[in-house]
Amino acid sequence: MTAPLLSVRDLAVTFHLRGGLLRPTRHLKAVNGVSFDIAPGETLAVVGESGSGKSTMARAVMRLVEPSAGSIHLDGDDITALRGEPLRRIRPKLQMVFQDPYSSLDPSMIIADVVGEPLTVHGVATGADRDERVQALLEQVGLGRYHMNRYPYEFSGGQRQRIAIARAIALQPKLLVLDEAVSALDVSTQNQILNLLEDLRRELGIAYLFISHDLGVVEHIADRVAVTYLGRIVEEGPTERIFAKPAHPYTEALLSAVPIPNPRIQRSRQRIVLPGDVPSPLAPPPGCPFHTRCPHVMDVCKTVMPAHTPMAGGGSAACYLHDPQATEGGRRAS
Amino acid sequence: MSDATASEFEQLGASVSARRRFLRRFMRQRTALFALGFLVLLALGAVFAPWVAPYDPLAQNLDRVLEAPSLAHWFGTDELGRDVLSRTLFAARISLLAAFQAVLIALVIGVPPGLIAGLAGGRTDNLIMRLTDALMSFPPLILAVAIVAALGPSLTNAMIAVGILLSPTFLRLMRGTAMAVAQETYVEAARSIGCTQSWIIMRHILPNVVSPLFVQISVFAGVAMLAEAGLSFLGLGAQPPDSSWGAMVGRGFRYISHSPSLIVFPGLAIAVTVLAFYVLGDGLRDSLGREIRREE
Repeated sequence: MTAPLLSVRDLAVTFHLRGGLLRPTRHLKAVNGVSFDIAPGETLAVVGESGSGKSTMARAVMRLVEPSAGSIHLDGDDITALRGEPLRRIRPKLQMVFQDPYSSLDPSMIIADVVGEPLTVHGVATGADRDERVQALLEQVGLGRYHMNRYPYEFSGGQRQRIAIARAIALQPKLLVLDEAVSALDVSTQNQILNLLEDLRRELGIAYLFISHDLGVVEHIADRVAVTYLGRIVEEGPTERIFAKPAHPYTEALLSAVPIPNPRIQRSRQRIVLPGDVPSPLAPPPGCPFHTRCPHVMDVCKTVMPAHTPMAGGGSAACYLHDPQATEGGRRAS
Repeated sequence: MSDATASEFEQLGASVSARRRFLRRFMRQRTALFALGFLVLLALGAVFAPWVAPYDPLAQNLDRVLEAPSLAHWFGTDELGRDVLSRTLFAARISLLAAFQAVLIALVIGVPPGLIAGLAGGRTDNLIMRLTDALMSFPPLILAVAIVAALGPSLTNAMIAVGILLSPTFLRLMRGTAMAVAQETYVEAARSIGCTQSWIIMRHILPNVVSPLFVQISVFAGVAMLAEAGLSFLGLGAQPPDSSWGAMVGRGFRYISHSPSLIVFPGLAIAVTVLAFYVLGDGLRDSLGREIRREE
C-alpha cells in the first residue's frame, strides 16, 4: 500500500445558523467525523442522498469551507489550517469541477481566459504560451481552438462541463474533486463526460473524489465507494463488494433503488422502501443516525453510534448487525 | 426554439462576442434606439450651440418682448426679447452637464461603499447600511435646500445635493448585486483555482456588476435632470446669466398668462429628455439581461 494522496481524519464541518431576536443560533453538523483515504490515481466515490453532507465534504477537502474539526492531509502535507498564500500555493495539486456548468463559468469571460485563468494566476504561462496550452487543454477534452474566443453562453451543458474540466486539469492536479459533475447533464452527455474522465485518469493518473447521488454512474467509474448518511460515512469499501454484498442496511436500500435496465427483473425484484424522511441535520437522532428508518433497528442503535467494523471483501461498515458483541447485547436488550 | 437554433448556428458559424450580442439585441429595440438618437442629437445641439443657435442667447431686443412663435423666432421671445430657441439650446448645455455632475457624484459616493458592504458583509455591511438609512430618512427636498443654503446657491452645489440624494440607490444596487455575484459558483470556482481576493474582485465581480449599473445611470440621469429643473425653478440652481431649462421655466412662469409659450418649450425639452433617459434605461436593461437568453 502506497502512502495515500489524500488522507482525511475525523473531519467535521459545522454551520452556525444565526438566529433572529427570538431564535437561538442553531448548529448544523453537515459533516460529522468523517475519515477516508484516497491513493494516487484512485477514484473514491462518495454517495448519499441530498443533504447527506457530500458536497460539504468536497468543499471542506477543497478548503472552500472551514472544517470545524479533524485533519486533511494532501500528499503528506497538513492542509487543514492553511490560509492565504500557502493555501493558494497548494491549490494546483487540488482542483474541482462543480455541479452546475451553467454557473461555474464566469459569463463575462471568453473560454481562453476561463481555461487559462489557473495558468495566469499561478504564473505558469502567459501570452502566446498560455494560448497554446489552452488550445492543447481544449483538445484534450474534445473541444477545439475555434472555441477559444467564445463566451460560455454559447455552449451546451456538456460542452461547458468539458470547459470546466479543462480548467481543472490545467495545472495538472493530483486530485480532482468532482462534485456531482455529471448530475446536471442528460444521460448521453453524462456518458461522454464519464468516458472523458476515464481517459484523463488513464493519461494523467489523476485521483478523483467523485461525489454523486447516482449509484449507476458510480459503479462504472469508482474503485471504492463511501456511503454517507446525515454527515457520516456508514459504509465504505471496494466498488464490487459494495454492489455485490452491501453490508449496511442503508446501502442495501440505496442499491435496491437503482433501476435495472431489464423490465422483467426490474418488475419482479424486491425494493427496500425506507419509511419516513431523512431526519433534519439540525437535530440528528442520537446513536446511529439511520436508526429512525432502519428495518433492523435494535435498542443499542438508539444510544451509541456504531464503530466501523471491517468487512470480508474489503472496507468497513458502521452497523451493529456486523458487530458480533453488539448484536448479542442488542438481542438481550430487546 | 428559435433561440436554440440560433445558438446552434452560432456554434457552427462565427463567434459572437458579448458586446456584439448586446448590440444586436439593443438594435431590435426601436424605442430605445430612438431615445438614444434623440439624446445624441440633443448633446450635439448643446455642444455646437454657438454655431447652431440662430441668435445670441443673451442679446436683448426690447422692441420685441414676449412674442409668440414666429418664423423669425421659432420658439418666440422672452421678457427681454431674447430668442427662446437659442436660449433653449444653450440651456441644454447646463441641464445636461448638471445631470452628468449629479450622476457622477452619486456614483463616486454610492458605488465603492456599496461594493464594500456587499462583499465584506457582517459588521462593515451593517455600519454602511445604517449610515445610508440615516441619509435616506431626510426628506429629499429639505436636504437639498439645506445643502444649497449651506454651500450657497449655484448649480454645482445644487447638483452635489442631488448627487448625495441619489447615491443611496447606487449604494444599495451595488451592495445587492455584489452580494449576488459573490454567491455565484464561478466565484467559488475562482477561489478553488487559487485566484487572490483582489483578482476575484477585479476580474469576476466587477465585470458582472456593471450591467445593472448602466441601466441605473441612464434612469438617474433623467431623475437628476428633473431634480435640477425643480431646484432651478425655485432659484436654487442655475444662476443668471446662465440658464437651464428649469430656470427658464421658473422665469417664464411669471409671464404665463401673457405668453404661455415661454414655459412650453423648455418644459417640453425637460419632459422629452427625461423620458428619453428612462426609455434608454429600459432598453439597456432588456438587452443586457442575461437570464432571458439562458438556455436550460
